[in-house]
Formats: sequence, C-alpha cells, structure tokens
Amino acid sequence: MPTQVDQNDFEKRLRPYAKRCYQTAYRLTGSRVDTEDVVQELFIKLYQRFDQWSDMEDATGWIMRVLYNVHVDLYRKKAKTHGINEQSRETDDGALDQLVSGSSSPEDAAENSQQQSRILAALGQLDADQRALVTLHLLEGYTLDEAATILETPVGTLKSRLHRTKAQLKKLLKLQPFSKK
Amino acid sequence: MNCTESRQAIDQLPMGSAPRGSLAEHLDACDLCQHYYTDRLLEQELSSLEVPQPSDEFLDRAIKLAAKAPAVETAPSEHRWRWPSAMAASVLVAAVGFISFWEPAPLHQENPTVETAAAQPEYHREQVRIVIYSNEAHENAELSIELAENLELEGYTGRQQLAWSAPLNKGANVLNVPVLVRDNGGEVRVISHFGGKSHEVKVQVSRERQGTGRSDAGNTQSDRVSIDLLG
Repeated sequence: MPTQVDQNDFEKRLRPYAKRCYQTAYRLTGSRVDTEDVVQELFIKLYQRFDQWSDMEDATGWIMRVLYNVHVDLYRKKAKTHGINEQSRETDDGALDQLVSGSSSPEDAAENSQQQSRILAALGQLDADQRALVTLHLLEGYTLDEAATILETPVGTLKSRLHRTKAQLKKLLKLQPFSKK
Repeated sequence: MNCTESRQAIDQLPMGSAPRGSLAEHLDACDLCQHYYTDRLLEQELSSLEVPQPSDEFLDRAIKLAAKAPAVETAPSEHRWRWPSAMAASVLVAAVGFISFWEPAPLHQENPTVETAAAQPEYHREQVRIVIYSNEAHENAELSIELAENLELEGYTGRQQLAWSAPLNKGANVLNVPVLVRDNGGEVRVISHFGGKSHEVKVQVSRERQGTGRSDAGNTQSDRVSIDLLG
C-alpha cells in the first residue's frame, strides 16, 4: 500500500462485499468466533492491498482468494494449537457419532439445531482445501472452473477432490444408498 | 423405469421423502442412480445449512479496525491481480513451470516418503529440494507448496501458495524450488496426495538455519532434511 488509503473510500468499496465475506467465512469455519477472526483478518489484508482491488469492477473473485488464504492460515494455526499431527493424514471413515467436532464451540453448537450441528460437524472433519471446495462449489454455486481460479488449483484436481469429499461427507452424514428391502 | 426417468423422479422428490414404487425398484437395481440419489441427498443436506447474518455493529467495528492496520509495502515487481483471466493464466504457468521441474532419480524406497533439503543461502536465495518417494507410479498426484510470509518462490512474487497435479514415477521424484528468504525466514510446507493418502512435510528455512527435523550430517553443500512419512 504505497499511499495512504482514505478510510471512507475503503469503507465505501468494501461495504458491498462485507456481508458476503462473512457468510462465506462462516461456511468455511462453521463457527461465529472463527468467522469473526477470519473476517477481521481479511479486512485488514484488503485495506493493506487496497490499491490492488479498488479499481476492479467486480472484486469478488480476488477477495474470495484472499479469504481462502486467510482461512487456510487460521486452519493451520488451529491445527497446531490443538496438537494435530498432520504429517500423514488419511481419510477418516469413522461414523459421525464417534467424532468430536473440532470447529464448533459449545456456544455455536447450542445455537444450532441438531441438524445444523450434524452438518457442521461433518464439514468440520474436512481439511481446509476440501472445505473450501465444498463452500465454493456445493454451497455457493461457483462452477469448478471458477473455483479452480480462486483456489489456484487445476480443475482435474478439484474434480477428484470433489469426488473424494462427497464420498467422505456421505459416510459422515450416513447417507446410505436407498434400499427398499 | 429407465435411468433418465429415474433421475427426473429423484429431482422431483420432496426433501425428506423416501423413494417409492417403480423408482424404489429401479434404485434397488441401479448403482449409478443410487449414486445420483445420494448426491441429491447430500446437496439437500448441505443446502439446509443456515448461515447467520453479521451484525452491523461487527462489520462497522471490523472495517474501522482494519483501516487502522499498518501499511504493507508491495514489492515493486508485484503485478496487480486481474480477475479472472490473469489468475487463470498464472495458475497455468505455475502448473507447467513446476511440472517441468521433475527430475526422476534412480532411488527407490518401499514406502512413499517425502524429503526436503535446503541449501546454503546466497543473498537470501535458498534452493529447496523436495523429493517425493513413491513405491509405484501415479498418473495424477496432487501437490501443493505453501510458504510463510517471509518466503516466496523466485519468479512468483507475492505468492505464498501453489498447487498443481503431476505424474509421479516409481522411486524418487525431485523438485528443485528456488525460495527467496526475507528477515527471519519461515516455514515451507509441502503436501502431496497420491495413492489415496496425503503426506505433509514442513521445513524451516532461514538465513541462520536451514531445515528442522532429521538432518543428514556430512554434506558441506547443503543441510539435508529428511522426514519419513507413513506409506
């Protein structure tokens, strides 16, 4: 940020994106507390890099990219804080009821219905990249091409990741194939 | 009922309703339509996730606080992002550039492992060598590299993360990455996914000390860092 940014100008440009940033951050984190942390950090980065997006007609994609990076950073910090050893991580096929959600605080869980908690707990078992893909593609309707640009990941990689992630979520949510027997 | 009719019927099923009649009979016999059905169930589940609205008070506070953040100078060579064509192009360049770095080496281990080595710095420039060992070839391994704030890939100013796909040879696959180190440096994190498993390795790169973890002694050219992961 080579020159001083006018605070009013920053606020005026950011306002149209602010609520959407919050909602996407919530889908990424599943927790109000983490969402506020992510959004605050995102806004700081957007202020510091204001000259890079302020003249864009639609900066949504650019902002989503920064949001994703902030989310990944937070995920990593949380993983370290919780002592998670991620040196070799395999897909967890365990049943949801044996899992403890690492992403939702008790306060958040209490705010949500059982169904909401169930979905958030399942999403909480995904890694940051999977969660971002689910958020962008399945929850917010970005095409895989658009998600690939935001996540800077090849479409082919996203397709295989999506296949794995859906299979994992189906198991976690116990969405069994239908049988009339 | 054929598959086309089955999928039309699935699309029209109210949320929470169980398939009945001819649809139920078709699903019982057709794996592809069962897969389609569970995909729809998953989409319905996920779409029911309620997302709270932010309070105006929080947004006001967060925006005002952000505007008090210290300024960060951008590097002179950093180009401004353009959405989406420039980002798409940079992804392509990154993918092609890194794939071309692969240098198959005649090494072999029983289990896939990931190894990194960071050479002695020269004017803050580090050559980080990443070796991914695999006990079999894989056509489409997913690879990503993430750098701490004080690090950046030479030629990719301002980018702390790259992800791409590349084929893996059986044995050792070598990737040499030039990393520019600022201040006290930071952590390089490499993640690979192949054969249904993910592997992650981290190495600390700084001017004073290159690499953490198990280190091979006796190499005067570089500090080798090797981290064996579960295969």
